Amino acid sequence: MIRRLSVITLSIALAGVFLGEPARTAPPQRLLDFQADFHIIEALVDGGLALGTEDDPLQRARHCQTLTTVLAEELEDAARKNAGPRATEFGTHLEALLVGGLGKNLLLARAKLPANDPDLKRLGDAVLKLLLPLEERLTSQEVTGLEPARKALAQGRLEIENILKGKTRLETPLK
Amino acid sequence: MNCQECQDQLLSCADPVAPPVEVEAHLAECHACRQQQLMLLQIEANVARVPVPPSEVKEHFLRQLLEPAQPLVEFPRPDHARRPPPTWSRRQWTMLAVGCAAALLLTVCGIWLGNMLSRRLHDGPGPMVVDPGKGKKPPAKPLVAMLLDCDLRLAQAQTAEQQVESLAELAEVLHGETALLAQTGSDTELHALAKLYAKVLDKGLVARAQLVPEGKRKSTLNPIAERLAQASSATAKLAEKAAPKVVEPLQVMVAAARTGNAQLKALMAEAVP
Repeated sequence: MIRRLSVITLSIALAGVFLGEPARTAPPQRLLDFQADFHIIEALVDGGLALGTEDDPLQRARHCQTLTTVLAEELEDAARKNAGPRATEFGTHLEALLVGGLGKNLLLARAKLPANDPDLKRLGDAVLKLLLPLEERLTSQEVTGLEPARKALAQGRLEIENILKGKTRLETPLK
Repeated sequence: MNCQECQDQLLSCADPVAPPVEVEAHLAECHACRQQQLMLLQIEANVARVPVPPSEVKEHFLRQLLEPAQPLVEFPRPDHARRPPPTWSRRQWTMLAVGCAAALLLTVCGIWLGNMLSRRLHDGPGPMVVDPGKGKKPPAKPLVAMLLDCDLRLAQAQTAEQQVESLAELAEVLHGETALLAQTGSDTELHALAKLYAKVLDKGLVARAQLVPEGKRKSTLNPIAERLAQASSATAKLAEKAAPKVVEPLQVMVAAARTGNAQLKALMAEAVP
């Protein structure tokens, strides 16, 4: 009986040692993500600061354009590395930014400026020049898992095109 | 959905990484609930680390179940089976009680020892080993996604009050990453994070807070100032327990939060007639 009790006691004590040890390696994935995404994190913080201290919609649209470039590069990089889930993640981010950030401010700017304002046109052209070839490259790549990213990108690009062509107006609710 | 409902649903859902859509929507807007979700994820990740002793009971049971049925033969019962059930003497009961007490004492000692050893490892001069293979589940929403949400709110903000509130959220998202990075002892990343945090408070939040109309300053800035005070004291506590090499960036964050708090209070005081 003493032997049994000793075995049980030691087992419990050993479990206690393991239970008492806090998670030394708890969030390594978070750290790896932080390291890998730091350039994007930095761009998003700087972009947020620029957007948060700006009232002019055209300027805000320009800040969104800068962020669009960062996210588009990341999407392309993920596609090149055959990283389907990451490409999807960034495709979704890009769509959200195009619709909720760039599109929203282009609409506001369009309402204030004349229809053929050169600044607005230049900005719109630059964005489409970035998005259309990327969409084509995503379509032509024979990599599985890129379809959701391509669809999200196409959706965002279509939203911008509609705004620039005047098909979506300020009173039309954005998605 | 309010915070209580959101937190109840987080507790009841099978996978807090992917909560229901309505909870996700609330989380996107509520820092406190995001913190709660992070805490749940940490608990879940740590529960998986509790060692479970191997057991052969299941295999034994299945073996017995699958064995061909034995003919029912009445064997003579062994001697010990005929004996009456054993009754424990007072001495045996005492031994059992002493054994239980010893087990309890050793468990407590074990937990204390584990904590002490871990603390010593954590405070050691070498970098903490981060094993990428052991990373189980990433916390709920990636930092990039949370920052993008803040940026979208900033892109749509109509007033200085909305901008200030969203800039405060941006700072909080960065602050939320502090504890996770401090645990890994990654001073380079923590320095970079502290720099971004201080920049958002100084160049964004405080700068924009000056444009909040005087009549709305108290209602807008007071809750943010309180949150900054909480962030500063939480980070100061974290710095007390953290490895020496990450103390400096943590102190940068404490100082930034304290300065931000003081500047917001000064702006509120200016507005008082």
